[in-house]
Amino acid sequence: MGQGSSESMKTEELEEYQVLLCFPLSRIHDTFKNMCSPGEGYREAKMTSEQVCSWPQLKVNPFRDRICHVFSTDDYFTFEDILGMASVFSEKACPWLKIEYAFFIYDFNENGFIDEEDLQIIIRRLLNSDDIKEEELISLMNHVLDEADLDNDGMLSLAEFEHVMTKSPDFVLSFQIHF
Amino acid sequence: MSYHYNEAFENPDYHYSETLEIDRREGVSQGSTSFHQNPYDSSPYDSYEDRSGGVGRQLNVPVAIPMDSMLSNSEYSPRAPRSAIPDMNPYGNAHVNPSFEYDSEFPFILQSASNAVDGPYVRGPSDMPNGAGFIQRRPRREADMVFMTPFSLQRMDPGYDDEKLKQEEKLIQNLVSMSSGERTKAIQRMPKIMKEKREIRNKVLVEKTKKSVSKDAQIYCCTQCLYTISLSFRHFKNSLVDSFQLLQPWQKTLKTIGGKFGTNVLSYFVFLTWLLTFNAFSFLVNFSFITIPQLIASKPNNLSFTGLELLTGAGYFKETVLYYGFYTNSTIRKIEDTGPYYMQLAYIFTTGIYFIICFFSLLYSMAKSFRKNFVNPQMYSGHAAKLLCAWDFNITNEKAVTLKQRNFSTQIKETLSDVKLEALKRPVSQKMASLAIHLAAWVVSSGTAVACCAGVYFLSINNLDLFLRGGKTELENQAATLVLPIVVCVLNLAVPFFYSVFGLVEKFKYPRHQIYTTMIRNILLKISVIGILCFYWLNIVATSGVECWESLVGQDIYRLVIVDFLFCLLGSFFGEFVRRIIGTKCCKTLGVPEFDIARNVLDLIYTQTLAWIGIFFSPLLPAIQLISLLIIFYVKKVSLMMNCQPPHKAWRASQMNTVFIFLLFFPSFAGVLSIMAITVWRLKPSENCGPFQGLTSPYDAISRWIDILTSYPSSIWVVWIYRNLIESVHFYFILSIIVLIISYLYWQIIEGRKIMVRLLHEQIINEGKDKMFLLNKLRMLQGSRSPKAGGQQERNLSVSQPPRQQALQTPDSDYPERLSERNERVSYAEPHYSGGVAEMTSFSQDPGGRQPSARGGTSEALALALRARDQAEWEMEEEDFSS
Repeated sequence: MGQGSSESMKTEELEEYQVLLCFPLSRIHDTFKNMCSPGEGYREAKMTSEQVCSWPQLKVNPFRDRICHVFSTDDYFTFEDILGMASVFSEKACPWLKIEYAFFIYDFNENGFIDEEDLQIIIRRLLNSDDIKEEELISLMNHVLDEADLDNDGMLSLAEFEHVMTKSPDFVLSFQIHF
Repeated sequence: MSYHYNEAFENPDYHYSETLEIDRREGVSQGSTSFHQNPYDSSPYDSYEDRSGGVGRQLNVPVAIPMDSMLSNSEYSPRAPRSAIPDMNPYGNAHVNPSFEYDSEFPFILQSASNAVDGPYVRGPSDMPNGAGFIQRRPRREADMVFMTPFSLQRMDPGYDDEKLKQEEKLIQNLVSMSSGERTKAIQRMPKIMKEKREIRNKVLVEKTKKSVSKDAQIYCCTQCLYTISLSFRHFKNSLVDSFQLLQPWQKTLKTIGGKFGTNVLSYFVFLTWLLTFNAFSFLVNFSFITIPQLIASKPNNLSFTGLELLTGAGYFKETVLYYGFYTNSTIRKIEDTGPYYMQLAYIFTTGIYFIICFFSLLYSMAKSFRKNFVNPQMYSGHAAKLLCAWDFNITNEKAVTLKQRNFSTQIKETLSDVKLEALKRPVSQKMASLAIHLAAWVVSSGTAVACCAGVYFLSINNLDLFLRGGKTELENQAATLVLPIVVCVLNLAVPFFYSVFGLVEKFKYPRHQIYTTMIRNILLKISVIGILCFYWLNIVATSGVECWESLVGQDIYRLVIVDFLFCLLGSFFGEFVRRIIGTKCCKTLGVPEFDIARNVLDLIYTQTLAWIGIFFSPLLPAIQLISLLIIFYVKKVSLMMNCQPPHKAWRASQMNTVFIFLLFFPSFAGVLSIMAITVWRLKPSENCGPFQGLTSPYDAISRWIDILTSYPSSIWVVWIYRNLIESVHFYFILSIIVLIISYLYWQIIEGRKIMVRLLHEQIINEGKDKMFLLNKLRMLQGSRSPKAGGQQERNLSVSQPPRQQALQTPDSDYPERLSERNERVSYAEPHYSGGVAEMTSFSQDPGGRQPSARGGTSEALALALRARDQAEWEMEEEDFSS
């Protein structure tokens, strides 16, 4: 809990976080402990995206850079950014929130859509190998778009993404990181 | 019209669009005079006529669209046939009209479009069906904007802050009108950073206090009081949840397992802990209401303890609280002042109430799981879900990640080849052959199950004969009792392996069919074995005249549970540990064993069924089950970590969990309930032992108690309830009729919803088609239009030209909310087939899209038109460049 006891969280603050986050109270304490480096106030503490990326929970995740990018402000994590991230990835968070952030994470080129470029990157990252043939990649992509792209514009908007994701309840289970 | 202009400015797409510069100039030159005196700004709910007039006046644009005439024939006929579209298309008019000016009309359309898009958000709280939905939609929109608009642009734009403030105010007002619980949820659901959330919350709180101050002081006091109470209650709840979580030592283990093996394997452990809590509850109830009173009154135990009893459950344990036979039928009265404790009633009520609680909690979790996981009939139909939901974010282990990636790669190849295969039709002969194989497999598997049942039945009868004749040493007797459970467990272990051999012969189209088939066969086997054992206990043992048959049954069940537990340990030793040694050292092709989730879960269901049956005959069986489950949990965990790898097949965790809970409910718990019912209502308890000795059936205890109660006038209502409700046939008759009617009604509602869902789905597809149609139409029109008319301006426009792709996409970026909004409204929106196109014709007259209906179609069509228009513009520009 840092070094100075003055830096430990007050009950009111905890209460407030509790209201703002979908995240059990005890976990906030844990996250807080994780976050605080000695001698530094947790409010002022800032971590770079690289630091957060190297956390054990994210270290091996193929989408870690996107996660860090989406949740950080200007590539720096404040304590609250981290809480926000943990909240979205906690099991208590509502599916809509999770889906929305998943969309942001998967939207590599940040144009507000998951288009073919994004899909290609997603597939490549999921496979982590280049042994997939170009035609396989394209065929897979076309299958995905055939199924999910309701308005035939060759890319998935948030609504279409949501539509697909609500069809697979496994997503809520798998889109969890225990911080 | 400041509002409208701002809206246009703030619209992130707008920033990207190439008309931005022009529009800004337009906005300044045109709107500056009317910027602050807009009467519509302050009253966004003005009547429609007012505003439509206002738009025309304020814009002062030489638009040639015959607004009023259009208004009368298109605005109020949204269902106009599609064939009429080309004639009514305002674009068409514009092109024909010589005075048409392209760019000046453009902002006008844009703002009306953005207003129409905004329509549902602008609505007041009064016509909001539910506030939560509103909140849920709103942040989504804002998030989009924040996400899509470059930060610098947001800053630079003077309208942005105003607009944002306005939106925020509305949001806050909505939040204020909610109850505190709803508000908390709504705030939690906002995809915003903490700081913004906190600001919003603080503002809401300030607003709320303002309001409550203005109210009556007394009410204020009351609400304040309530608030304090709720706050302290929440505090209490939070700390309770916290301490409860501390009590669950497996939380950390679950985390590690999830990190190393993913959600699928984790689901087995979650199921295990769920059963663990079930048993813990059962143990607590039984221990406190049955065992403790009995312990107070019990006699000392004279039998010696050798140690073998732990395995057989006989001998020393016969004279302990473990079994039914030890409980007394007398009333217990230790302290003179207090009332007597009727052991009979305690026994029957505790068991009964436990089963009722179990029933409802199972039903609840089953229903919840079904609701969550089987909402959509066409679930898992395709690749998108497979791909986009493929990554398990839980995994934190490097090896697991590479494994997962490898599995995923093979899966993708499999599905792709499947798709190709599906295209090829198999010949009839092949189909017949596969059908014959399936049939044969089913015959063989059911034959095996029947044979197993017969074997178990004869063995158990034999065993009982041996037991009745006696005449052997105590040790031999005890060993003989162990034969039956060992045989049953061997069957349970061996036959599933035999079934899995079928998998080599049978070829299924989808791997999940194979999983389900194997599961059905296994559960049939297990349940029929348990069924035949129950038949033996209730029909043979109960009528054989053995002294205290209930205890005998209890012992049998105890042995089955214990031996099954031992086999489970042995199974994970041989099946996983030794298998791993062989797989890694001797026979490398075998590899590391996979963790078989289905088999392990079915084993759990089997033991749980036994434990439930045993509760009546041996009230402390839940304790045994509790201990064994705890040990299994840790053994499985260690074995998993050391020996296994996660299953490589795609495993639909949530769907499978639903199936498991259903299995636990349907054959298992329902069977247990029926067995309990037979025992309590039909069977004659043994004469000389147990709480129900001397009665004709255990249920008699209740009727006798009611007879006693009739003499007490104070408890006459209990008697009345018993006589008129519980014993009465009419009551149940009426109740079941009511339930049937309600379920029929719900069924009809569901049917209606299904139709609606289908229609909405069709509508979405139609919208796509409409868009394509419009695009083509516009292309045609562009082709016919003389390139000189707008050429000069087009070139001007393209000075600050963004990359093409962006411009193409921009008009659609509001699309998400509209679609999602529609999705959310699925439940109450009325189906309309006309699609957006018919309404489309009216869009330029409709400044706000704020008609009460504010149907998705309107805004949809607007955006489609915009989009189409943009695309057309691009094409024109290209033409210009090339020419």
